[in-house]
Amino acid sequence: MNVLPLTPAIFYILLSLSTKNRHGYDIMKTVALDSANKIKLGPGTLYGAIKRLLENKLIAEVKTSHRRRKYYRLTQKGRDIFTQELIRYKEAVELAKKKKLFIPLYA
Amino acid sequence: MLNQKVTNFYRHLLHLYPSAYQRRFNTEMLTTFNDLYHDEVKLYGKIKPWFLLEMTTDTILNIINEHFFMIKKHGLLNYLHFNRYHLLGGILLSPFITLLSYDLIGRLVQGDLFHYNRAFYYFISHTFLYANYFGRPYLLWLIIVLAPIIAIIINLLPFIFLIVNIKQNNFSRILFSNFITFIIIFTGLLALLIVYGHDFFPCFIQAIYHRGLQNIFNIISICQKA
Repeated sequence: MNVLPLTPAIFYILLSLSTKNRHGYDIMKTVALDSANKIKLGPGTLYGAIKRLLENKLIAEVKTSHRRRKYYRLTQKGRDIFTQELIRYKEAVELAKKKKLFIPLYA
Repeated sequence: MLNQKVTNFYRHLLHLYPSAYQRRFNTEMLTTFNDLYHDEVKLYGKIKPWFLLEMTTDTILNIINEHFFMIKKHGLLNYLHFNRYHLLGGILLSPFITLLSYDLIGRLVQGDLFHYNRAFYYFISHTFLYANYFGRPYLLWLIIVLAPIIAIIINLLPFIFLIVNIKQNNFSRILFSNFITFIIIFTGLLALLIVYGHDFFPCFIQAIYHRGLQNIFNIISICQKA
C-alpha cells in the first residue's frame, strides 16, 4: 500500500517518533509543539493514525511493563518513508528557490 | 465526581468502536483522554464545554471511519453478519414493503401525504389481495399481519439469545452486528402499527408535526377523532 505523500498528521507523528520512543499522549503533545499548535490531534484521530501506521509497519509497539500506556517506535521502513518525504519537501523548497518564489521565506 | 462522570461517558463512547479496535486501543485511549482532562483542569481550573464537544466529535468521526474501514475490508453483508434469518425476514416482509412503497408513491403523486391514497385503496380492495376466503381477506392478512409477525419472531429469538449469552458489555457488537435485525423488527412492527391503527400512522406523524412533542400522550385520542 502506497503511503506517500504523508498527510500532515502522519508526518508530524513520524517526526515525533524519529527522536525517541513515545506513548500516545506524548505523541499528541509533541505534534502540537512541533506544528506550533497548527495540528491538534484528538484521541480518535491519533489512535486511528497509529492503527494505520502499525498496519503499514511504519511504527511498532515497544514492549514495556506499563499496562496502561503503550510506547511506539519508528521502524526502519518508517524511517525510510519519512526520509523520502523529507527529501520530497527539500526538492520542493529548492525548486521554489530556483524559481525565485517566496524569497523572504529563505532569505 | 465530575471527572468520574466524564470518564464514564467517554468509556461508553469507546464501546461504539469495532470489537477488534476496542480490544487493541480502548485502554490507551481512555488513559490519554484522562491526561487531556487533567491538562484542561490544570489550565483553566475547570472543564470548558468545548473540551468535551471537541473530544466527542473527534472520537465519533473516527468511530464512523473505523466502521467504514471494516466494511471496506470485509464487505457490507459480512460486516453486518447477514444470515439466513435476515434473508427469510426480508422475503417475508418484501410483499408488505412493496405495498407500502406503492402507497407512499401514490400519496406523493396525489400531493397529500396525510390522506389515504385512492389508487392504492382501489388496488387493495378490488384485486386478488382482497379475495375472500371463508369470508375474510386472508391473503392480505397474511401479507400485512402474519408474515411480519413471523419475521419479527425469527429475528428476535437469536438476538435475545445473543443478549443473554454475551459475557461483556459490548454495545458496538450488539448494535452493529444486528443492524439488519433491528431493521427487520422495525419494519415488522411498522406493518402491525399501520394495520391495527388503520390510518393511525400518517395521523401520528401529522399530530406531532402540528401539535409538537409535548402532546405525544394525547396522540391516540387526537387520531381517533381525526
